[in-house]
Amino acid sequence: MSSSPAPEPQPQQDKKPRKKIVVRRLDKIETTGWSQPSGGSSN
Amino acid sequence: MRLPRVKPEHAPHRLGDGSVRLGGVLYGIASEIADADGWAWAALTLMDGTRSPAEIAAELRSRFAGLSAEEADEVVATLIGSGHVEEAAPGPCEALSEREKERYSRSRDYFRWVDVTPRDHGWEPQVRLKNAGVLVLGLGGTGSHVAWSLAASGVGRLHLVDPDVVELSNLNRQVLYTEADVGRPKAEVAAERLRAVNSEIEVTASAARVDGPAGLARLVDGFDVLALCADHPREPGGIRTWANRVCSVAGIPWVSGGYDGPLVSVGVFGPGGPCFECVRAGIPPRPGADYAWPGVTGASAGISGQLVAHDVVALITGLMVTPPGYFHGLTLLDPDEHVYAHYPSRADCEFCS
Ligand SMILES: [Zn+2]
Repeated sequence: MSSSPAPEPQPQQDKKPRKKIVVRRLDKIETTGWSQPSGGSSN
Repeated sequence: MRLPRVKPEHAPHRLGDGSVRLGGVLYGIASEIADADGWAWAALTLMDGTRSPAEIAAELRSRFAGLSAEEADEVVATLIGSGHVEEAAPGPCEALSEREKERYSRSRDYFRWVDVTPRDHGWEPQVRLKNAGVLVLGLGGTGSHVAWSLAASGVGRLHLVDPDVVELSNLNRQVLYTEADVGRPKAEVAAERLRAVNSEIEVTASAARVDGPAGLARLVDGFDVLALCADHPREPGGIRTWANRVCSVAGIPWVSGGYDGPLVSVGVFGPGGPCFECVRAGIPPRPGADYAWPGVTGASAGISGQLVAHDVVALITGLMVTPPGYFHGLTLLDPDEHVYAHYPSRADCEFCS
Protein backbone atom coordinates (compact mmCIF):
# COMPACT_ATOMS: atom_id res chain seq x y z
CA MET A 1 0.00 0.00 0.00
CA SER A 2 2.99 2.31 0.44
CA SER A 3 3.91 4.59 -2.42
CA SER A 4 7.54 4.84 -1.35
CA PRO A 5 9.97 2.35 -2.88
CA ALA A 6 10.82 -0.70 -0.86
CA PRO A 7 14.08 -0.26 1.09
CA GLU A 8 17.15 -1.95 -0.29
CA PRO A 9 18.08 -5.03 1.73
CA GLN A 10 20.92 -4.11 4.04
CA PRO A 11 24.08 -6.19 3.98
CA GLN A 12 24.47 -7.93 7.32
CA GLN A 13 28.12 -8.91 7.32
CA ASP A 14 28.56 -7.26 10.71
CA LYS A 15 25.92 -9.45 12.35
CA LYS A 16 27.12 -12.95 13.25
CA PRO A 17 25.08 -15.80 11.76
CA ARG A 18 22.42 -17.17 14.08
CA LYS A 19 23.38 -20.57 15.45
CA LYS A 20 20.98 -23.30 16.34
CA ILE A 21 20.91 -26.90 17.45
CA VAL A 22 19.57 -29.71 15.27
CA VAL A 23 18.00 -32.85 16.70
CA ARG A 24 18.86 -35.68 14.31
CA ARG A 25 16.87 -38.90 14.66
CA LEU A 26 19.28 -41.83 14.39
CA ASP A 27 19.25 -44.07 11.31
CA LYS A 28 18.55 -47.78 11.60
CA ILE A 29 22.20 -48.55 10.90
CA GLU A 30 23.16 -46.55 14.01
CA THR A 31 20.70 -48.25 16.32
CA THR A 32 20.87 -51.95 15.51
CA GLY A 33 22.64 -54.27 17.85
CA TRP A 34 22.26 -55.68 21.33
CA SER A 35 21.43 -52.85 23.66
CA GLN A 36 19.77 -54.40 26.68
CA PRO A 37 22.61 -55.70 28.86
CA SER A 38 20.33 -55.87 31.90
CA GLY A 39 18.04 -58.33 30.13
CA GLY A 40 15.06 -56.07 30.60
CA SER A 41 12.23 -55.91 33.12
CA SER A 42 9.62 -58.63 33.45
CA ASN A 43 7.07 -57.43 35.98
CA MET B 1 4.75 -26.28 27.61
CA ARG B 2 4.77 -24.83 31.11
CA LEU B 3 7.44 -26.87 32.89
CA PRO B 4 9.46 -28.99 30.45
CA ARG B 5 11.15 -32.09 31.81
CA VAL B 6 13.29 -34.58 29.93
CA LYS B 7 11.45 -37.91 29.87
CA PRO B 8 13.20 -40.30 32.26
CA GLU B 9 13.45 -42.96 29.54
CA HIS B 10 15.08 -40.41 27.23
CA ALA B 11 17.77 -39.22 29.63
CA PRO B 12 20.64 -37.50 27.76
CA HIS B 13 24.15 -38.89 27.51
CA ARG B 14 27.17 -36.93 26.44
CA LEU B 15 29.31 -38.71 23.90
CA GLY B 16 33.09 -38.39 23.63
CA ASP B 17 32.93 -35.85 20.81
CA GLY B 18 30.68 -33.50 22.83
CA SER B 19 27.48 -34.45 21.02
CA VAL B 20 24.43 -35.47 23.02
CA ARG B 21 22.53 -38.74 22.65
CA LEU B 22 18.86 -38.70 23.67
CA GLY B 23 16.25 -41.41 23.93
CA GLY B 24 18.49 -44.43 24.35
CA VAL B 25 19.54 -46.39 21.28
CA LEU B 26 16.23 -47.67 19.89
CA TYR B 27 15.41 -46.95 16.26
CA GLY B 28 12.50 -44.55 15.87
CA ILE B 29 13.20 -42.94 19.24
CA ALA B 30 16.89 -42.20 19.69
CA SER B 31 18.48 -39.04 18.36
CA GLU B 32 21.68 -37.04 18.55
CA ILE B 33 22.53 -33.38 18.73
CA ALA B 34 25.89 -31.96 17.66
CA ASP B 35 26.56 -29.69 20.62
CA ALA B 36 29.96 -28.05 20.21
CA ASP B 37 28.92 -25.06 22.33
CA GLY B 38 27.32 -27.14 25.09
CA TRP B 39 23.98 -25.34 24.80
CA ALA B 40 21.87 -28.46 24.33
CA TRP B 41 23.49 -30.27 27.25
CA ALA B 42 23.00 -27.28 29.52
CA ALA B 43 19.38 -26.80 28.46
CA LEU B 44 18.58 -30.47 28.94
CA THR B 45 20.14 -30.38 32.39
CA LEU B 46 17.90 -27.43 33.24
CA MET B 47 14.79 -29.23 31.96
CA ASP B 48 13.97 -31.01 35.21
CA GLY B 49 10.38 -29.85 35.55
CA THR B 50 11.11 -26.90 37.86
CA ARG B 51 11.62 -24.13 35.29
CA SER B 52 9.55 -22.51 32.55
CA PRO B 53 10.93 -22.29 29.00
CA ALA B 54 11.62 -18.56 29.57
CA GLU B 55 13.53 -19.30 32.78
CA ILE B 56 15.59 -21.97 31.03
CA ALA B 57 16.41 -19.60 28.17
CA ALA B 58 17.40 -16.85 30.64
CA GLU B 59 19.64 -19.25 32.54
CA LEU B 60 21.29 -20.33 29.29
CA ARG B 61 22.04 -16.69 28.42
CA SER B 62 23.60 -16.14 31.81
CA ARG B 63 25.89 -19.11 31.25
CA PHE B 64 26.81 -18.51 27.59
CA ALA B 65 27.88 -14.97 26.85
CA GLY B 66 27.64 -15.39 23.06
CA LEU B 67 24.09 -16.69 23.09
CA SER B 68 21.43 -14.25 21.85
CA ALA B 69 17.90 -14.17 23.22
CA GLU B 70 16.54 -15.56 19.94
CA GLU B 71 19.09 -18.36 19.93
CA ALA B 72 18.36 -19.29 23.52
CA ASP B 73 14.61 -19.36 22.87
CA GLU B 74 15.17 -21.52 19.81
CA VAL B 75 17.37 -24.01 21.66
CA VAL B 76 14.60 -24.46 24.23
CA ALA B 77 11.85 -24.67 21.59
CA THR B 78 13.81 -27.18 19.52
CA LEU B 79 14.30 -29.47 22.48
CA ILE B 80 10.63 -29.22 23.50
CA GLY B 81 9.64 -30.03 19.92
CA SER B 82 11.95 -33.04 19.76
CA GLY B 83 9.61 -35.33 21.67
CA HIS B 84 12.26 -36.11 24.28
CA VAL B 85 10.67 -33.69 26.71
CA GLU B 86 7.36 -33.94 28.58
CA GLU B 87 5.13 -31.52 30.46
CA ALA B 88 5.92 -31.81 34.17
CA ALA B 89 2.78 -29.86 35.13
CA PRO B 90 0.10 -31.17 32.75
CA GLY B 91 -3.41 -29.84 32.92
CA PRO B 92 -6.15 -32.17 34.14
CA CYS B 93 -7.02 -35.11 31.91
CA GLU B 94 -10.73 -35.45 32.50
CA ALA B 95 -11.22 -38.11 29.85
CA LEU B 96 -9.85 -40.71 32.27
CA SER B 97 -10.91 -41.39 35.86
CA GLU B 98 -8.38 -41.70 38.68
CA ARG B 99 -9.04 -45.43 38.71
CA GLU B 100 -8.27 -45.65 34.98
CA LYS B 101 -5.09 -43.64 35.50
CA GLU B 102 -3.93 -46.09 38.14
CA ARG B 103 -4.86 -49.07 35.97
CA TYR B 104 -3.07 -47.75 32.89
CA SER B 105 -0.10 -46.07 34.57
CA ARG B 106 2.41 -48.53 33.12
CA SER B 107 0.87 -48.19 29.65
CA ARG B 108 1.30 -44.42 29.96
CA ASP B 109 4.97 -44.94 30.80
CA TYR B 110 5.36 -47.17 27.74
CA PHE B 111 3.61 -44.70 25.42
CA ARG B 112 5.65 -41.81 26.82
CA TRP B 113 8.77 -43.77 25.97
CA VAL B 114 7.90 -44.62 22.34
CA ASP B 115 6.02 -41.41 21.52
CA VAL B 116 8.22 -38.70 20.03
CA THR B 117 5.39 -36.25 19.38
CA PRO B 118 5.17 -33.46 21.97
CA ARG B 119 1.90 -33.77 23.95
CA ASP B 120 -0.02 -31.61 26.39
CA HIS B 121 -0.18 -34.60 28.70
CA GLY B 122 1.04 -38.19 28.62
CA TRP B 123 -2.45 -39.68 28.57
CA GLU B 124 -3.25 -38.82 24.97
CA PRO B 125 -2.51 -42.30 23.54
CA GLN B 126 -4.58 -43.92 26.30
CA VAL B 127 -7.48 -41.57 25.59
CA ARG B 128 -7.31 -42.58 21.94
CA LEU B 129 -7.58 -46.23 22.98
CA LYS B 130 -10.55 -45.42 25.20
CA ASN B 131 -12.32 -43.69 22.33
CA ALA B 132 -11.67 -46.54 19.87
CA GLY B 133 -13.76 -49.53 18.85
CA VAL B 134 -12.24 -52.78 17.58
CA LEU B 135 -13.95 -55.75 15.97
CA VAL B 136 -12.20 -59.00 16.92
CA LEU B 137 -13.21 -61.66 14.43
CA GLY B 138 -12.27 -65.13 15.63
CA LEU B 139 -11.65 -66.07 19.29
CA GLY B 140 -9.33 -69.05 18.92
CA GLY B 141 -5.58 -69.34 19.35
CA THR B 142 -4.80 -65.88 17.99
CA GLY B 143 -8.06 -64.08 18.73
CA SER B 144 -8.37 -65.05 22.39
CA HIS B 145 -5.00 -63.44 23.09
CA VAL B 146 -5.87 -60.40 20.97
CA ALA B 147 -9.15 -59.86 22.78
CA TRP B 148 -7.54 -60.19 26.22
CA SER B 149 -4.71 -57.83 25.30
CA LEU B 150 -6.98 -55.15 23.84
CA ALA B 151 -9.33 -55.34 26.83
CA ALA B 152 -6.43 -55.08 29.26
CA SER B 153 -5.00 -52.17 27.26
CA GLY B 154 -8.25 -50.24 27.59
CA VAL B 155 -9.70 -50.21 24.07
CA GLY B 156 -13.05 -48.65 24.87
CA ARG B 157 -15.32 -50.80 22.77
CA LEU B 158 -14.73 -54.42 21.76
CA HIS B 159 -17.05 -56.59 19.70
CA LEU B 160 -16.17 -60.28 19.70
CA VAL B 161 -17.38 -62.64 16.99
CA ASP B 162 -16.94 -66.42 16.84
CA PRO B 163 -19.49 -69.13 15.99
CA ASP B 164 -17.73 -71.99 17.82
CA VAL B 165 -18.02 -73.56 21.25
CA VAL B 166 -15.11 -74.24 23.58
CA GLU B 167 -13.49 -77.67 23.16
CA LEU B 168 -11.00 -79.40 25.43
CA SER B 169 -8.40 -79.33 22.66
CA ASN B 170 -8.61 -75.51 22.65
CA LEU B 171 -7.25 -75.24 26.15
CA ASN B 172 -3.57 -75.72 25.26
CA ARG B 173 -3.54 -72.18 23.84
CA GLN B 174 -6.81 -70.25 24.06
CA VAL B 175 -6.24 -68.05 27.04
CA LEU B 176 -9.80 -66.97 27.88
CA TYR B 177 -11.35 -70.40 28.56
CA THR B 178 -11.26 -72.97 31.36
CA GLU B 179 -12.28 -76.61 31.66
CA ALA B 180 -15.64 -75.48 33.02
CA ASP B 181 -16.33 -73.66 29.75
CA VAL B 182 -16.14 -76.70 27.46
CA GLY B 183 -19.29 -76.78 25.34
CA ARG B 184 -20.16 -73.11 25.90
CA PRO B 185 -20.09 -70.53 23.08
CA LYS B 186 -16.65 -68.91 22.88
CA ALA B 187 -18.06 -65.44 22.23
CA GLU B 188 -20.21 -65.56 25.36
CA VAL B 189 -17.43 -66.90 27.59
CA ALA B 190 -14.86 -64.48 26.19
CA ALA B 191 -17.12 -61.49 26.84
CA GLU B 192 -17.67 -62.61 30.44
CA ARG B 193 -13.93 -62.99 31.04
CA LEU B 194 -13.05 -59.65 29.48
CA ARG B 195 -15.69 -57.78 31.47
CA ALA B 196 -14.10 -59.30 34.57
CA VAL B 197 -10.64 -58.22 33.38
CA ASN B 198 -11.75 -54.67 32.66
CA SER B 199 -15.11 -53.27 33.72
CA GLU B 200 -14.23 -49.83 32.34
CA ILE B 201 -14.75 -50.91 28.73
CA GLU B 202 -17.75 -52.05 26.71
CA VAL B 203 -17.60 -55.66 25.51
CA THR B 204 -20.23 -57.13 23.22
CA ALA B 205 -20.26 -60.54 21.57
CA SER B 206 -21.93 -62.51 18.83
CA ALA B 207 -21.82 -66.17 17.78
CA ALA B 208 -22.43 -65.17 14.17
CA ARG B 209 -20.59 -66.94 11.37
CA VAL B 210 -19.25 -64.58 8.73
CA ASP B 211 -20.22 -66.06 5.37
CA GLY B 212 -19.05 -63.43 2.90
CA PRO B 213 -17.90 -59.88 2.27
CA ALA B 214 -21.40 -58.42 2.68
CA GLY B 215 -21.76 -59.88 6.15
CA LEU B 216 -18.29 -58.73 7.10
CA ALA B 217 -19.05 -55.21 5.86
CA ARG B 218 -22.10 -55.06 8.14
CA LEU B 219 -20.05 -56.25 11.11
CA VAL B 220 -17.12 -53.88 10.66
CA ASP B 221 -19.30 -50.81 10.20
CA GLY B 222 -18.67 -48.29 12.99
CA PHE B 223 -15.38 -49.76 14.20
CA ASP B 224 -11.95 -48.16 13.94
CA VAL B 225 -9.88 -51.32 13.37
CA LEU B 226 -10.55 -54.94 12.43
CA ALA B 227 -8.49 -57.64 14.15
CA LEU B 228 -8.92 -60.60 11.84
CA CYS B 229 -8.16 -63.78 13.75
CA ALA B 230 -10.18 -66.25 11.68
CA ASP B 231 -8.57 -68.33 8.96
CA HIS B 232 -11.51 -69.85 7.05
CA PRO B 233 -12.20 -69.79 4.23
CA ARG B 234 -8.50 -69.79 3.35
CA GLU B 235 -6.80 -67.91 0.55
CA PRO B 236 -6.95 -67.34 -2.31
CA GLY B 237 -10.26 -65.57 -2.21
CA GLY B 238 -10.85 -66.35 1.46
CA ILE B 239 -11.65 -64.34 4.55
CA ARG B 240 -8.49 -62.23 4.33
CA THR B 241 -9.41 -61.21 0.81
CA TRP B 242 -12.90 -60.34 2.06
CA ALA B 243 -11.35 -58.26 4.84
CA ASN B 244 -9.03 -56.55 2.37
CA ARG B 245 -11.87 -55.47 0.12
CA VAL B 246 -14.35 -54.56 2.84
CA CYS B 247 -11.82 -52.58 4.88
CA SER B 248 -10.33 -50.85 1.84
CA VAL B 249 -13.75 -49.62 0.75
CA ALA B 250 -14.65 -48.60 4.31
CA GLY B 251 -11.24 -46.94 4.91
CA ILE B 252 -10.63 -49.04 8.04
CA PRO B 253 -7.17 -50.40 8.90
CA TRP B 254 -6.95 -54.07 9.76
CA VAL B 255 -4.51 -56.52 11.22
CA SER B 256 -4.44 -60.24 10.61
CA GLY B 257 -2.37 -62.77 12.48
CA GLY B 258 -1.70 -66.45 12.51
CA TYR B 259 0.79 -69.26 12.65
CA ASP B 260 2.02 -72.06 10.46
CA GLY B 261 3.74 -74.25 13.00
CA PRO B 262 6.76 -72.29 14.25
CA LEU B 263 6.26 -69.52 11.68
CA VAL B 264 4.24 -66.75 13.33
CA SER B 265 3.20 -63.86 11.12
CA VAL B 266 1.06 -60.75 11.15
CA GLY B 267 -0.20 -58.54 8.34
CA VAL B 268 -0.84 -54.84 8.91
CA PHE B 269 -2.88 -52.97 6.31
CA GLY B 270 -4.59 -49.63 6.10
CA PRO B 271 -5.48 -46.59 4.03
CA GLY B 272 -2.55 -45.13 2.12
CA GLY B 273 -0.49 -48.30 2.03
CA PRO B 274 -0.40 -51.27 -0.34
CA CYS B 275 -3.28 -53.63 0.34
CA PHE B 276 -3.17 -57.27 1.40
CA GLU B 277 -3.77 -58.56 -2.11
CA CYS B 278 -0.99 -56.40 -3.58
CA VAL B 279 1.57 -57.37 -0.95
CA ARG B 280 0.54 -61.01 -1.27
CA ALA B 281 0.86 -60.79 -5.07
CA GLY B 282 4.39 -59.50 -4.68
CA ILE B 283 5.61 -62.43 -2.64
CA PRO B 284 7.37 -64.86 -4.99
CA PRO B 285 5.56 -68.20 -5.14
CA ARG B 286 7.49 -70.96 -3.39
CA PRO B 287 6.48 -74.59 -3.79
CA GLY B 288 5.71 -76.10 -0.40
CA ALA B 289 5.10 -72.75 1.27
CA ASP B 290 1.34 -73.17 1.79
CA TYR B 291 0.74 -74.86 5.10
CA ALA B 292 -2.62 -75.70 6.63
CA TRP B 293 -1.65 -77.96 9.52
CA PRO B 294 -3.19 -77.47 12.93
CA GLY B 295 -0.11 -77.78 15.16
CA VAL B 296 0.11 -74.91 17.63
CA THR B 297 1.23 -74.25 21.21
CA GLY B 298 0.30 -71.69 23.81
CA ALA B 299 3.46 -69.79 22.88
CA SER B 300 2.99 -69.76 19.10
CA ALA B 301 -0.69 -68.78 19.41
CA GLY B 302 0.03 -66.21 22.08
CA ILE B 303 2.85 -64.56 20.15
CA SER B 304 0.69 -64.25 17.05
CA GLY B 305 -2.16 -62.77 19.07
CA GLN B 306 0.01 -60.37 21.00
CA LEU B 307 1.68 -59.18 17.79
CA VAL B 308 -1.76 -58.49 16.35
CA ALA B 309 -2.82 -56.68 19.53
CA HIS B 310 0.36 -54.62 19.46
CA ASP B 311 -0.28 -53.54 15.88
CA VAL B 312 -3.91 -52.68 16.61
CA VAL B 313 -2.78 -50.48 19.50
CA ALA B 314 -0.09 -48.94 17.29
CA LEU B 315 -2.67 -48.12 14.61
CA ILE B 316 -5.06 -46.54 17.12
CA THR B 317 -2.41 -44.51 18.93
CA GLY B 318 -0.43 -43.68 15.80
CA LEU B 319 2.73 -44.91 17.50
CA MET B 320 4.31 -46.87 14.67
CA VAL B 321 7.45 -46.22 12.65
CA THR B 322 6.60 -48.19 9.49
CA PRO B 323 3.25 -47.29 7.87
CA PRO B 324 0.77 -50.13 7.15
CA GLY B 325 1.14 -52.40 4.15
CA TYR B 326 3.33 -55.34 5.18
CA PHE B 327 3.62 -58.75 6.77
CA HIS B 328 6.06 -59.36 9.57
CA GLY B 329 6.85 -62.20 11.87
CA LEU B 330 9.37 -64.69 13.09
CA THR B 331 10.15 -68.37 13.12
CA LEU B 332 10.29 -69.66 16.65
CA LEU B 333 12.90 -72.26 15.70
CA ASP B 334 15.48 -69.61 14.90
CA PRO B 335 15.69 -66.25 16.65
CA ASP B 336 17.89 -64.98 13.83
CA GLU B 337 15.13 -65.39 11.23
CA HIS B 338 12.77 -62.46 10.94
CA VAL B 339 10.13 -62.29 8.26
CA TYR B 340 9.19 -59.04 6.55
CA ALA B 341 7.32 -58.61 3.28
CA HIS B 342 6.46 -55.29 1.72
CA TYR B 343 5.56 -54.81 -1.94
CA PRO B 344 4.06 -51.78 -3.66
CA SER B 345 0.50 -51.39 -4.85
CA ARG B 346 -0.18 -52.93 -8.25
CA ALA B 347 -0.97 -50.24 -10.81
CA ASP B 348 -4.42 -51.64 -11.53
CA CYS B 349 -5.47 -52.42 -7.97
CA GLU B 350 -8.95 -51.06 -7.34
CA PHE B 351 -8.45 -51.20 -3.56
CA CYS B 352 -5.21 -49.35 -2.90
CA SER B 353 -3.58 -47.80 -5.98
ZN1 LIG C 1 -3.93 -53.28 -3.69
